[in-house]
Amino acid sequence: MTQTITTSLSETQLENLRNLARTVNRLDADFFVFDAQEECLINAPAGQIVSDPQHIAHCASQMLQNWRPGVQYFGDTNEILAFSLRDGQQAAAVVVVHAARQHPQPLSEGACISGENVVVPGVPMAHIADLLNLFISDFHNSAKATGQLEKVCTELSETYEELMLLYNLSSNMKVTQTDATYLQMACDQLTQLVRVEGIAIFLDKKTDGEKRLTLTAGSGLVTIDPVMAEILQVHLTRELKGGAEALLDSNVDRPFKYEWPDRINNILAVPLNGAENMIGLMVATNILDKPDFDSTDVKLFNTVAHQCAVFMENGRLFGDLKELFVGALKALTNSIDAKDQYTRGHSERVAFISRWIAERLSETVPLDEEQIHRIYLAGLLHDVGKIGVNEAVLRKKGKLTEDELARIKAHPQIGASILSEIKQMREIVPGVLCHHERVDGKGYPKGLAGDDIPLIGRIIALADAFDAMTSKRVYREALSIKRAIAEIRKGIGTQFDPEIAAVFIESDIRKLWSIIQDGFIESWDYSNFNEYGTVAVGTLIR
Amino acid sequence: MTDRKVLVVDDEIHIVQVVAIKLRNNGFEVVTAENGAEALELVRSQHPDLVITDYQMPVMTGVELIENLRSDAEFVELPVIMLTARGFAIEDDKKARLNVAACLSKPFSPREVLQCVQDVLQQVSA
Repeated sequence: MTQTITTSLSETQLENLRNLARTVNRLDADFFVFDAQEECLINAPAGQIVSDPQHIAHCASQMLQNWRPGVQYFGDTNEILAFSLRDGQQAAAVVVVHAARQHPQPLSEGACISGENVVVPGVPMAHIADLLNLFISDFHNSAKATGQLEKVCTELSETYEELMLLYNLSSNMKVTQTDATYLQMACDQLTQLVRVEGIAIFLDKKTDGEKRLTLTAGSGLVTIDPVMAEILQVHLTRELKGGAEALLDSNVDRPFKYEWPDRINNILAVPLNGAENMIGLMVATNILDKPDFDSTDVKLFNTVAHQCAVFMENGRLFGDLKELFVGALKALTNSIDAKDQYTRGHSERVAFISRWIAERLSETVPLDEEQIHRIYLAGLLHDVGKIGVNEAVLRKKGKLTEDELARIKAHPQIGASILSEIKQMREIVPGVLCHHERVDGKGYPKGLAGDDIPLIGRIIALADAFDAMTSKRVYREALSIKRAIAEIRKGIGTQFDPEIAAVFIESDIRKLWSIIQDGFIESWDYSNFNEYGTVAVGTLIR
Repeated sequence: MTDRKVLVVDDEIHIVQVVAIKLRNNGFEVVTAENGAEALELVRSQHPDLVITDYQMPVMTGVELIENLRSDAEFVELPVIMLTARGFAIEDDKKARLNVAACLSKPFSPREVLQCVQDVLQQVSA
């Protein structure tokens, strides 16, 4: 017995059948509908029951087993008409009409038979048959149309999902996001949309001085290892040179073009292109509900890969710019520091220490990445005003005159006014202006006290003092860390902010010191950018 | 568990069809309407477990439809999900007053709609 999938009639279709039943009844014939399991769905006799249920059921059964198009005739006098309704290849229902009260032979128009079984005048069997045939073709046309509509809507639904994917990808292109997050999101969303076994993104990264493809993001089951990825890249490059949009390989209609590990049935790879060259690739393996990838998939993958590449390029450029900027600043401040041999490298150290403090403070006080970076820059620039102070005064060994002291004390103000000319530096100005203020109000230039001093100023004040203490000066030797910490403790509440001082003292100052002592070279650790081999401009000059 | 029934109302036929297909393919019974009046009739005759309606519709807007529903004691608790076209986000207080379970903006991901329907029905039965 063949296995048939149960298809049932829709409400609309049942409604239509009931209407047909009424019409047929008016023509004095009984109407029955059975489903594919031979259950009676509609039982509509025209009047008193004359049909033999078993016989009717038998006809239905016959129709279900031997399908033939159109109306079939049963019964000794062909008084039973039946037809099947199909949904595609499956039988959905069988209709049986018993023209029991009709004259068995087709009558000519207008004929009338008197007697007990009154027949509606002028309705021959042929008429009923025509009616039924009309219904059959209507039914099947409508079912076909509904089927087509469903297919169109399913495609449309898929297209909507694609749109949402692309929309999400583009709206997530915030430069401050890390590469890894963005790439992972792209993989996750793609795997939901295109049902594949696995998707992976490999990027060229510098590991141990060598550029190698590294797995950076992935979803599902990824059976490509880095070694395989390198080979894949070679094949992909070859395909692209030959004019293809992607590498597409499968053994569905023909053998594989390239060699792949056993588990792979089909594979699609697209490049991620940077400004000048391929910076990586995206690969998908084993598509699940189709025999193979098609050109729509290729285009979608290329679009997503392109978005990812653009995102990373932007990030890299942004990072480069940031480095360039900070590098230029360091060059400037180093040259100012170098005016006095004892302050060489001071600004960079203060910047580093200030950031150290800010990072630890951010555990209790709300400080985001941007603010911490600003504190770093302020530390770097805090003494830029010294450019306006005579070198002779800066280097003077003996006691300073009132006038000379005044000139030196002007440097925060001078620095602030230089920087406030630059729009992007305005947030840094308070740090420069207030780095010699004291919480007890006895600082300069304004004599602000306590919380009136901006946080950035209070942080740099401490960092500045610590570095000054631990550096050799013309008038004294460098203090040991222990002494310096003790001095800071003494200054709590007077020179230094208690909370900031506490955070600093409790931190691992030895570690801080050893980093500084090692002549730290900062490599910019945007975790995504150092793979491009860029290292910060500017080293600690001692 | 018996098939859950969802009523989808939108004057844009393609939206109705796409949502209906997605839900039907995932075990839901779906009835559809192209306007508020038809929708009200279907709610009364078909007793859906959830209604998805568009916001902007001619003659009777989605808001008016919900107001009509809520004025009938039988449908005060009927979960409703609203589809809004971008730029027509409903204010929070209106959302609360009308007891709208969720709002999705167009263009929507059909998968998201399915998830939303499942989540809302889950919450209701909890």
